[in-house]
Amino acid sequence: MRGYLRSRRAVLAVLVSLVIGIGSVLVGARTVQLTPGEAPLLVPLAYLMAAFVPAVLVASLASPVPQIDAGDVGPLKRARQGHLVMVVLVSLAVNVTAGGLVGLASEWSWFEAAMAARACLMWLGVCLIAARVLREPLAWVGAVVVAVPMTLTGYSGGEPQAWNWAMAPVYSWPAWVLSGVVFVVGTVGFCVRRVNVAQTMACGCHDPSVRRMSRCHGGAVCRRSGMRHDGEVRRAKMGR
Amino acid sequence: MNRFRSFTAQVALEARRSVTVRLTPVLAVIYVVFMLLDAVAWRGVWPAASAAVTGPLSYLGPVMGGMVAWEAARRSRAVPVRTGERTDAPLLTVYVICGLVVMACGSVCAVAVNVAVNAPAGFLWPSYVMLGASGMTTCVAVGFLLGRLGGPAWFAPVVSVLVLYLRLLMASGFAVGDPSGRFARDFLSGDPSVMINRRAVVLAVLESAVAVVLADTVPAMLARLRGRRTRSAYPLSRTQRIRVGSGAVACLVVAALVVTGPPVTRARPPVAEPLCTDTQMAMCVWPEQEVYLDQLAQMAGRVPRQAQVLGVDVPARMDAYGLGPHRSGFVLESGHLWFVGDSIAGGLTSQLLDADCVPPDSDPRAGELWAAHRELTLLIGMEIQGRERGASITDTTGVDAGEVARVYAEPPAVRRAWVDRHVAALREIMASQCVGAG
Repeated sequence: MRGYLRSRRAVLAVLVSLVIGIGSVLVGARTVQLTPGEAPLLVPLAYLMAAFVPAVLVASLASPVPQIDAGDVGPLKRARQGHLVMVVLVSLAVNVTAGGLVGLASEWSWFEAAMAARACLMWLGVCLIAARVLREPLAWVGAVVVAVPMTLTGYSGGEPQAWNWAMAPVYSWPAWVLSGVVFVVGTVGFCVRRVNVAQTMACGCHDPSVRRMSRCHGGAVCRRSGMRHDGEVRRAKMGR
Repeated sequence: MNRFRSFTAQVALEARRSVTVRLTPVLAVIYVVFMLLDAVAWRGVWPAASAAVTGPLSYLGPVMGGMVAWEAARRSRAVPVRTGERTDAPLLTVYVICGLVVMACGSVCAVAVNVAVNAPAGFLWPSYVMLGASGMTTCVAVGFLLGRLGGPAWFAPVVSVLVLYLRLLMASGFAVGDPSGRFARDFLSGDPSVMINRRAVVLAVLESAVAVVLADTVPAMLARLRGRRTRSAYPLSRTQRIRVGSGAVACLVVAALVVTGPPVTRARPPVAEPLCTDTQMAMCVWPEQEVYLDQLAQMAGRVPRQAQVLGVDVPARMDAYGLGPHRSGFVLESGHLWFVGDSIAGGLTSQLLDADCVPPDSDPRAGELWAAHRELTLLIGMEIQGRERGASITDTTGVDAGEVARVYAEPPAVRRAWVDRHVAALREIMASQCVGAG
């Protein structure tokens, strides 16, 4: 496990997320204007900085040797799952602590901490979905993309919308439901992808640019899954 | 000439291989969509349109930087940074061109919309566009630098995006002339009463130039230093040392100039001949705001009736912010007219107050007086606007906006009675204060 975490630079990721958390505590209370007009949207910086803690930690799930790792279905599997659990726990810990102490508040705010936890679940979910679709180093794209509807439509009549996971009051259940659903979808999607890639690699598809079996070139068929792969082709060429 | 051709060929080669080049049209479309979503704020007003060109930068600049960092890091793993010089220049040039193309698309959008709506004579203010372009170039350069520095695959993109977001967001939103706003590169609105400081534009361009030079040279220099440590590279020659030393000093000088530079924005001096409505109460605006004259004339046409209801005089003239003395006047906030009506109503209702008879804040009746005054101002503002106040406008004064909106929906006779009651209450409170003081 130690070698696994070292290869992912997990400690560096935790340090970066801690730096973001500390920065959020120090300057997070400062509001920034995101939209102009009669009713400008002013948002505390902490709400935006919170998205980068999960983005950094989810990005650290990237394997430095994906072609080799993807073929494993045994020893690395538990390490990956443990890493994912660590990502979730550290994200929540950093964001909840930073949320409760934002702006160097003199006393702990449970409401702010709960809102930070809810927002963290949402950011984690979208980052995991982005990691699933675009690969881990681009996990931040998920947070950046969903920040657009949050900014443009998440605030109406001087109040945040009920679904606004970052700004709605802590008792607003639609925001909790949305965050929970996106988190579950992201986590399940991320884990499912690992299995698929592992099966693909086990079938003999060793093209580094190929992440899905459907894009694997070659004429032979995998005995286990019935999908096409290039392993047999390579062996056939070598035999010739 | 041959070197230039060779460089151009390298740039073309890198452009063909770049993912960022393929994604640039997508970014350009998003940039334009972001501008058009808020077109009501800048349509027909050249300075506002110029500022709008820089608006999406705070969002898409970091995205561009992150994308560049991701691709640069990816290429660094495929082809490690060499210790020689000028290896990165063609690729960096491609990325800078991509960033500037995105900005150019925003500029073309602003020009096209303003020409389509027959904006008054004028054009984009180049200072805003230059600031936006330098901001975008800096984003690309920072992303490239972090991407080429090495480290794990995930580090450069996400850190670039975070750093650039914080840099752009924390530097915007300062008041005109505030020295803290010297790092602003993106603007959410561009009022004609605000000008961009030319020296600040020059410094912004220098800042982006330094960022590009650093992005181009620092990775190779660090690679050379690593090579020296492992005794796999020759030491720098005397000429190279002089060049590196002078370059470092130049970068420090520019950094010091930017940090101690003037605020980006400054107040624009009033124009000699503003545009005014030909109503009983003339409403005057900056020449660039001609597009609002019809709406302002409609509002000014309702003022005499409200002045009569309140029993006060009709002001002869009201100026847009920055045109009048002491930079007073009504504010046309991003094309929205609510605050104009509010300013006019405030001008009318304040005539009801006698400064000598207003109770001090410690007096419990002062609260009553100001609450009545604010409610009256809100209703008169609605009458002048010809509409209710938008639900999205937040009010920090504590006025019961719902009650005033309910009164506004009543027939004119009921409204008139409500106004008379409030005016009587104001006069009664001030009369008691004057009698008490007397």
